[in-house]
Amino acid sequence: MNLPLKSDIKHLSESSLEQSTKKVKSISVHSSQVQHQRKSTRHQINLAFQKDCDIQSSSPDNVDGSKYIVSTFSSSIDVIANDNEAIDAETLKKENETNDFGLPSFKQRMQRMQCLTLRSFKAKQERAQQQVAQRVRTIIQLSETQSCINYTKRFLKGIKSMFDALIDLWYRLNFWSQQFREIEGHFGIATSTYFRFTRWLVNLNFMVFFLYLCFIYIPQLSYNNLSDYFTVVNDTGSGSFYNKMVLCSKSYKEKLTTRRANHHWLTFLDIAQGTGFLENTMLFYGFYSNLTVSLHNDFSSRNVKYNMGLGYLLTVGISFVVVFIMIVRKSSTTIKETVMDFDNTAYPLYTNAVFGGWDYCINSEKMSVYKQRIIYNEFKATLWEVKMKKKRENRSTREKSKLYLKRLIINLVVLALLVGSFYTIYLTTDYLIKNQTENLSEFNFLMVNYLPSIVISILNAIVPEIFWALSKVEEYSNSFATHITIVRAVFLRLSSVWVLVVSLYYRLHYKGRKPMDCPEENMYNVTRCCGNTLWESIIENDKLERRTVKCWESYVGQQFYKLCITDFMSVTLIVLSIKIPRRIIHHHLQHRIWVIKKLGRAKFDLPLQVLDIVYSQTVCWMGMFFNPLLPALTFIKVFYFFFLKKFELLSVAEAPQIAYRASRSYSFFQTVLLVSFIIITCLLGYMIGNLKPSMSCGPFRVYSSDEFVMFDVVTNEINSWPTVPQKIVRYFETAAFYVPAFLISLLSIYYYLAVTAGYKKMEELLKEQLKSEAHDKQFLLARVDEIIKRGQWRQED
Amino acid sequence: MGNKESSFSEAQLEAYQDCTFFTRTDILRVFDRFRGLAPDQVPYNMSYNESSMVKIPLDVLENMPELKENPFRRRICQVFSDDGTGDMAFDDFLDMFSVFSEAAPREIKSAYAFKIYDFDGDNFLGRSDLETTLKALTQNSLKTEEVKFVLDQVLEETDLDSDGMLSYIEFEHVISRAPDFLTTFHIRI
Repeated sequence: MNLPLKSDIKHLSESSLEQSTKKVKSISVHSSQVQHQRKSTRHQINLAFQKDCDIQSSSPDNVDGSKYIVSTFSSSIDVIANDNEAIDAETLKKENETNDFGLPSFKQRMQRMQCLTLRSFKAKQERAQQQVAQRVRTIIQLSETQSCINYTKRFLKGIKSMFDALIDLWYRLNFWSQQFREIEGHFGIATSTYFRFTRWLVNLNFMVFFLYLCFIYIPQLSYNNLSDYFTVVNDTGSGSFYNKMVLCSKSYKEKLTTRRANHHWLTFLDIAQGTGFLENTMLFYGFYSNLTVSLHNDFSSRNVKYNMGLGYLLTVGISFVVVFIMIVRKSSTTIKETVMDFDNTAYPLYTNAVFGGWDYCINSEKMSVYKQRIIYNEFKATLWEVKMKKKRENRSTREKSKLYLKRLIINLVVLALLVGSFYTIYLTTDYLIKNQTENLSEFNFLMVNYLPSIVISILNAIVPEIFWALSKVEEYSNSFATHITIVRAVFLRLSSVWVLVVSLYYRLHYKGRKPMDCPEENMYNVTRCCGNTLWESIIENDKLERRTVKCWESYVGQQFYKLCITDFMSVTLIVLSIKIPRRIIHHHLQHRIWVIKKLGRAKFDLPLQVLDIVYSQTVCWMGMFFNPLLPALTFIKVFYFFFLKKFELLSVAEAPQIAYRASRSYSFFQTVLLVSFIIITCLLGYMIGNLKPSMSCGPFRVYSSDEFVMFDVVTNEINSWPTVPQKIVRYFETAAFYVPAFLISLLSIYYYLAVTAGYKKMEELLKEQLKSEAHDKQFLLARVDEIIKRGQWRQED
Repeated sequence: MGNKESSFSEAQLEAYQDCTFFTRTDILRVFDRFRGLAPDQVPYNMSYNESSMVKIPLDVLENMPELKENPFRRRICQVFSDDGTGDMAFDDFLDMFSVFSEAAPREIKSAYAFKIYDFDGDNFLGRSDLETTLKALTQNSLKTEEVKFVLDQVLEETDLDSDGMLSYIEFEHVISRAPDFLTTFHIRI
């Protein structure tokens, strides 16, 4: 077999596309052509109902077959027409006229249809062979001459081979392929999409971590360690506000560094809660200084400056943009399939099941038996759905109203559950803040601190199971029930993080409760006046003591740190303490106790597992601003989850029983990720834009007075640029830019929508045409039969 | 990669890279697998002639781990082999895995899928071909009327000219709208 060249294959596919579009275009052209050739009322009948197209295939290279078709047929059809005088001329004329709309008559359409399949295929093959021969000729020519083009081509080839080598190296480094082979071989491709998604998230986290490394960690470390090479220039400032800020920062640092005695238990507490010595590390926002580091070089005259605050803000912004671009890029390829899926009339359910059913990757015997059972189940389920649909249509009104009432009640129950969960989270967060005094014992303090995270984890584990059970009562079709449960579970998971943040925000951002007596003298009461948010705590004798939160960003960061750790611990613990024992019990006792056999092993339920991973990623993104080390932690965590879940799948759990469609799953994962990402971005943007930074910590200390917000660091930087660039940037802020840009984008969206609608319409029209052409073919076959019979009858006369 | 003594000349590797969707290391790895199936028959250095002449018989290929569980393995080998008997030379072997790799585009895969599912070789997927496919998928566990129902549905979804058979154009048209085909028609080697 001659190996076809790859580019020629591309030509082949392109030419087939061209053929079909040409067919569309030439319908109208052809009708006018043929109209000229019509001579009599007895018209050419399509003889291509004979399935073999010897007439055409014996002709030489005839790509544009329209004229040829007409001439051949006119000759062969006149032969028939001469034999049959008694053809009803009227009816034939009516049948063969062009429609009023200028579309070709069905005779022309028949002629187009004839040999559509076999002939065009052969024409494509011939053309491909010609192109191959042409290419060989050019290659020979090129190799003989030593032209300039030849050198360029060789150079390009060299670059291409270098790229290939790089990609090779990347695939070698990608040691995951061995893991994937194992998973796919045992469980098929649908399950492995979950692991592909996890791997993609690991890559994403690594990229963000790399950005952070370059622009945040290294400059900050350089301040501490390389002061020989760098001189540090503080953001200059003066005045009472600046002095206050310096005072507050010093006291905060002192408070952190002079910690209690070095007891193991206390160190563990500090690590668990993120307080104490851990708070003064790179993990939290508060560690980073608002310095401008400049290169101290005797030889260069220019100072290279690095504004830490600007770098911090821009890095966070750029990493969000990078994540967004990557998600959208990944999901754009799969959105097409999702859209196709929803168009139920056009979705080929059975064909997809038959031709896309077998997973060619499977190479274990156990799994192939299993897969056949899954396919069988899927067919059975589809057939059952057809029956149910019929039954559903035959429901009486009374049954329908009962069912709707049931559904309404269940939706209310679901809503109540959700609201209840949110309120619980709010209550626990409130409780946490109210109990910030250190009068509790250490252990209780730890428990109180972890309470919101633990509550969230418990709710996330239990409530989706309740949703599953409820959806069974609602009597939806299988796929719809799955979808609605997933939507509800997603809502619960995302909103729990959101509720936590909002309740923190509400508690920490008291307006109008600034400390009253904070004079601008030397004796600045750092306990009460540093910081611009308060919390209240009631200590002895019901006296309301107001203390300021020194560093609210670090505090919020601690909550996210705790969420991250809780997530990690809960997933590990669930596998260790629930799933492994269940497997062991099942293995030993399944034959004896019927209940255990019925419960079976733990199920590896794909959507819920994905929600786990997306939740981890959401926590990471939300906390990325307050916890600069969180991307690194999440990178390690997701990497660990990959292997943990793989272990769970291969050894502990059962494979999913329902046949998950691979493509549909992947687009679902991406959609959930995108939705959570957008919500997080909006929330974070609001917080950064609205809240004042802390006075005692962080890179934005200077902006903590009343008039500033964090975003001002960018504005100040722009203000320091020379006039012309500044004017350009200022222009982008004015309405003169926004209004036209908005209008133009609206117009382009409308244009694309209109074009898409037009294509859809055209597609429908073409489908109709194809169908009617097929019917015409049948009809005319019957007519030809009739005519031949009449002719024979006449001859017998 | 290193300076390993290669089983192919540079020109051969270039040609293979051009004609298939594999990279260099992939081609060498596939050759290792090919050689592993019949080490005494396949030489270490393959010349141009040998790569299309030295064939591995069908029954050895059918026991390959990648193909062992596939219900269509026999038909796959027949389609990709040069003479239609199922004995494959290295060229055919490489071609087969290249088509099944992730990088192969939809058009190539659908063209070969059509040939594979066309059991009687008449360039049409008739009712008997579809029935054989369905039975191979479900190991004969569906009842007769269920099989008939599914086949009727398939023909209704795909057969545009109502002739009771699927031509290549109709097959390609419906496959382009079936999202799972591209992901399942894939063998990792």
